[in-house]
Amino acid sequence: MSPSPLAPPALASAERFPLQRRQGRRFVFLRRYVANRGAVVGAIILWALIAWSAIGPFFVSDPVKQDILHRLARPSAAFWFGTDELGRDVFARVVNGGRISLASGLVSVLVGLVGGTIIGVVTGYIERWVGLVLMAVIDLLLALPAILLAITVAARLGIGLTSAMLAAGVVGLPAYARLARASTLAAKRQEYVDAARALGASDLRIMVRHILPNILTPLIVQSTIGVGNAILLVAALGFLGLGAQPPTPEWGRMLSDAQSYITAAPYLGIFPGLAIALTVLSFNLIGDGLRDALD
Amino acid sequence: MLAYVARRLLIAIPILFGISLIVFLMLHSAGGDPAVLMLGIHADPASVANLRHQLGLDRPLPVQYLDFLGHALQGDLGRSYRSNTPVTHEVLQRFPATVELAIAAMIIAVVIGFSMGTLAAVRRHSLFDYSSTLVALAGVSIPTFWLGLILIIVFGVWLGWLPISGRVDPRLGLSPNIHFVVLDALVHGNWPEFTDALKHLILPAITLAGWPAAIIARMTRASLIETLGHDYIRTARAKGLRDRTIVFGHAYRNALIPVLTVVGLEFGSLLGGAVVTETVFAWPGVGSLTISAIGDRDYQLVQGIVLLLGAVFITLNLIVDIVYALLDPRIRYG
Repeated sequence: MSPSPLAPPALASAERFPLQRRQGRRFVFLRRYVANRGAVVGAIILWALIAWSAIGPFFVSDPVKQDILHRLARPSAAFWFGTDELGRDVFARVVNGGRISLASGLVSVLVGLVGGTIIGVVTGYIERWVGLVLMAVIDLLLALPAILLAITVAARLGIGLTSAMLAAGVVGLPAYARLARASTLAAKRQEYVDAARALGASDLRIMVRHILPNILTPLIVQSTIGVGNAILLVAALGFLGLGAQPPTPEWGRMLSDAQSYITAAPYLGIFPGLAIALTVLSFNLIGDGLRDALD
Repeated sequence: MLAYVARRLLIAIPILFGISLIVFLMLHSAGGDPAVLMLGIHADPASVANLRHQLGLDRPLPVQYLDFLGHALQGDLGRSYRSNTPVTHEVLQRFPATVELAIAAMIIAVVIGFSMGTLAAVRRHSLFDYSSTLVALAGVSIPTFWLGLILIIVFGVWLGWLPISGRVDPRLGLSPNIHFVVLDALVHGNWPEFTDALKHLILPAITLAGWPAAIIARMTRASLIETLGHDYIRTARAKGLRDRTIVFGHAYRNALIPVLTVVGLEFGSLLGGAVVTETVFAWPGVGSLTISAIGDRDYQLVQGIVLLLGAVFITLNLIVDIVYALLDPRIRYG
């Protein structure tokens, strides 16, 4: 039997089944991501680092326990990465430092992401002078080199790991705010926002329930790359003495301490830096892979 | 073109004011009384109050800011709480060392970045392309201070080829009034000083060049690949032009415009971001001055440094924008 000429045109299966369409899109995204060898390597390194940071500390010695008799011991079977000036096991400190660096990167990005997204969505949605002024302030933060801004914020907040994480978060915030604002400006002109408004939804509800879920993807990609940069920045602040303080086994701080013994024990300066580089590399590879897969 | 420059200048001025306000508020709301810092914690309250009055710290914050701004416009950024010397003098004394380091780093970054990016683009999907992509990715992933430490370990400690700290061997008795050591030695034909200064410069410059070299290489590759795909390049190939002529004579002109922007922006970042490298190599520039000022809680000095570096950064960005508009008419008419 032929279809009636008045019947609506037959819909493609994907249009009839939005769930399948979404799953299909996810599959394409996953296939593209897996095809990117660098991104896969990045994901493997990151999972290994997460496992190492989660389980490792239970299998190594106390990272702050001093053993003066074995101070500045070279790498050996007993001390894989050697010991530092206080006889602390560098391997145990590097393993424990993983938790701190990963956590600091995530917290910093969370600070920047949440703060930047709120500012970006509000200024993009409201588009009145308040929004413009707020974005002008955000742009001001971009007018300073990142490390200089981080140092200024860290100096204001006081020396410590928490301050360093917040400083790295503040440095990242403008990028998220700009991205969120640009995405919101595009999203607010979509029909689903008009529909929500016609149904009587409040501005807050439209921003939170309708716009936010639709602008999250680019923000998540940006934040993946941002974690690597945040880890670098927190480590740099630790190295400059503005971040984690002794005896915290933070990688940047460990390198700062290693500097004083660079001629007597150069190995102290190798392993924490290698750990930072691997962690940041994994996030950069994943970030590049996500961006390419979504493009 | 003049209208474009005027427009960009008009935008830069409020940004500078904004930065001065943010930095002022941020540092003045930080803990620690400068008067106590200058007199010591055992000073009697009357002396502290007297000094606070002399410094104008007992006035309302907006008045203090306007006063600071008025003086800053005349080139006076106040006096260091620690040394009591003018902030402008302290910063300008150290600034040439940072500029010298940043210029050396930029030269290295441009040479490495352009060569790597160009070769990778021309030999796309080759082993060199994949290797250079990996090296560039490592360049943006390796912490600057770690790269510095590794260079110190290899070239300073193990091989003993290069000095690991300072700007010049103190035994040479360099005058403190010489600001650009390498340039000065070269101009005056002082070869022992020139070679020594150059040796001191190599490791910090390579360290500082790591990040921008990677960014320039990535940007050059991407931009050149895109340009090589254009119709006019295909026409040039069809005319039988040599690859070298096509790349350097035709593609480079368009491909390098965005890369030059990146170079300009990265140079600004190098001036402000040399803090870490200067700390690693005990380089007597503005960066190490910033860290010691923070350690001393000398916020007057920190404020001056951030403002001056911010001004330099914005000015460089402005120059980059203008050069970009000169090279690409679409920008100024856009």
